[in-house]
Amino acid sequence: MKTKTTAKPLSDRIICTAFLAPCLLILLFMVIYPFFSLLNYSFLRFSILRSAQSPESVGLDNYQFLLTDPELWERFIFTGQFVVLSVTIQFLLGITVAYFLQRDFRGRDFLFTVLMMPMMLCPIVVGFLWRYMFNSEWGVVNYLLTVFGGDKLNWLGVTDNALWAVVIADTWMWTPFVILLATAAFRGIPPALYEAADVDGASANFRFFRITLPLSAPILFIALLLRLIDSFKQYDLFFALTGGGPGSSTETVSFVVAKTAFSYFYTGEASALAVILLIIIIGLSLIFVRYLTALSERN
Amino acid sequence: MAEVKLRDLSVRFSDFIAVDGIDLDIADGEMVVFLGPSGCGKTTTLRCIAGLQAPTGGQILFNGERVNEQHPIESNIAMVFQFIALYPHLRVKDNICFPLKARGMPRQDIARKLEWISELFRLEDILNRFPASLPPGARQKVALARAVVREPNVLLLDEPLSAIDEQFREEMRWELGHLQKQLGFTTVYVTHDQREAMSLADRIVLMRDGKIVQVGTPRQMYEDPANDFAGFFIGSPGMYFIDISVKNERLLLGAEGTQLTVGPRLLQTLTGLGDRPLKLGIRPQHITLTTHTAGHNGSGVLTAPIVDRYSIGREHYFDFQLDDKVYQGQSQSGTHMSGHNPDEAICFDLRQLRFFDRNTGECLELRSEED
Repeated sequence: MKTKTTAKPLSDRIICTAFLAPCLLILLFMVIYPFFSLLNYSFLRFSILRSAQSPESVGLDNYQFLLTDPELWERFIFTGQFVVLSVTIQFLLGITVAYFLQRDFRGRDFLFTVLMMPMMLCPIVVGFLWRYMFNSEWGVVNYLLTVFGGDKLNWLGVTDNALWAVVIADTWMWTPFVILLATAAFRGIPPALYEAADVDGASANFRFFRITLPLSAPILFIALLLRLIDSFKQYDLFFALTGGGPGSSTETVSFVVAKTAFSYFYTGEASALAVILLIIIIGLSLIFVRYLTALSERN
Repeated sequence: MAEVKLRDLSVRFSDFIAVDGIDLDIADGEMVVFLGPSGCGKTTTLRCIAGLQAPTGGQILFNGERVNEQHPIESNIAMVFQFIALYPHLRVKDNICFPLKARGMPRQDIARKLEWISELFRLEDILNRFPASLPPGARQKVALARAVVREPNVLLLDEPLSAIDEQFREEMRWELGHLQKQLGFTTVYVTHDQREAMSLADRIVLMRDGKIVQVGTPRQMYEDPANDFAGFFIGSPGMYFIDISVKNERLLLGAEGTQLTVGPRLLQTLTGLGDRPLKLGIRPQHITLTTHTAGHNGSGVLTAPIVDRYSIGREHYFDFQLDDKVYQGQSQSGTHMSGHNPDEAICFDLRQLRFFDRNTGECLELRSEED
């Protein structure tokens, strides 16, 4: 008679470890090590150009220098203006479009696909594209302005205009993201609730503000968090559109990090600024995580 | 309050006819229960009355006024859904006040209504809870409170108890019936559960394939089914049907022709029907056991093999076989339960016999009233 020998089965623990190990290794080398290295640099006076020179430990000097620099505070304010403007406009537009996309009409799916396209482009390409369109002499934006009886604007040469130019480009690119998530959120609401609201005598507005919006809130908040973090870090569009100009008036905080690290090669200072940015973003995320936890407890 | 009339109401979804020309009058304050198997068109009819589904033909009249094209807001209808459609992000009190706020009722009136309804439904303790934290029974009670709070013209209930646990359902059913009588709303209730229908309805509307099979009080439906479908669907278990034929002045059951002894007048009536294929209908509780020697006034007697006897508490049952089918009967006392007795016979209560046309299923107007 044949007997069947079976290999001793691996324990769950070993299988678990085996599957997780590659991912953990990548995380270790790509995220955890660089993070601690960054943290370490932020306490040093150090430049990677002069890595032979032994770095000097300066404690919190880098942080102190940065946080007392009025120019940097201006950059924070400018970044804040950009974030608030672009994210607000993107949400108002995105939710409105998603609202109308809920209705059934011919060509809706096609329109939806077309609307999603800007989001799929590379940000630097979008930046250069808009830079040509905003050209004050022969750009299509100014052409359209004159067609409608307006005056030509110096879009990229005046600080306030340049801010709006980037806000417009960012909105063009990222409103689709809000549309996408808002549509998903709206579609996730059970139709029975709308029927109940219909029977309860709710008008379209009442229905939207009392049912659709509150019930989509969790997904919309995640979209908001992602958009806030993303626009807070916005670098590519400014780089391609304004190059931080005129002067350094449209430099965002990320722009300053990049310039400090790779133009001036003040590695220690740039690291400290990156850590500050990271803390702000983590702080933002925590607020949202709190909110989402509170929501899930209700359900 | 309102009386509701349906006139030749039809709903067609591309090539499927969900509701096929229904006529019905619902009186003010009446509780009408639409009963039928799933897909029979009862919920579609309800959704038409609610204004959630546009009829493709016919009319819906509220107090004589056509409401086909009216939005639910205008006709002041309240509805309770099968899948408890409470707003999950609102507390119980806000759920209940939702329809009042939607209509822009002043705040102090809303507060007064909330107090009235929460007392009526005994919801005081859960007003500040979210629906997800409540058991299904309590949730449906909140949904009902939300429907009733604005005192609708017509209250529509779409299988409101089907999502509730068995043990709580009974209680809710009682409460529902009680409240309906107390408040006096015209109520249309949809269910596939004939027990719910029998216990709640002033009148039952039995539907099948988009058509009304029969309309009547629960008692009428039970005692005088319009056809074999009604006989089978109402009552649990439903009516038994056995093919019959009359030969040589004898009433024979089934293919094998087991004789059921009946009086000469019934035999004469049946013979008078000629060659029309017939079947008899009888409910299990009208089949009993007796002995040949005992008198059986008003009973038809039958001899058939008894295949099983069992008792559930104080109720005694037996199974007997005709052709290759097994039928259940009830024994009034436990005396016949011990085992086979050569003298025993199966009795059909002749007053409860109904006769149906085997082809159309229609119930014939002939009774065995003789002793």
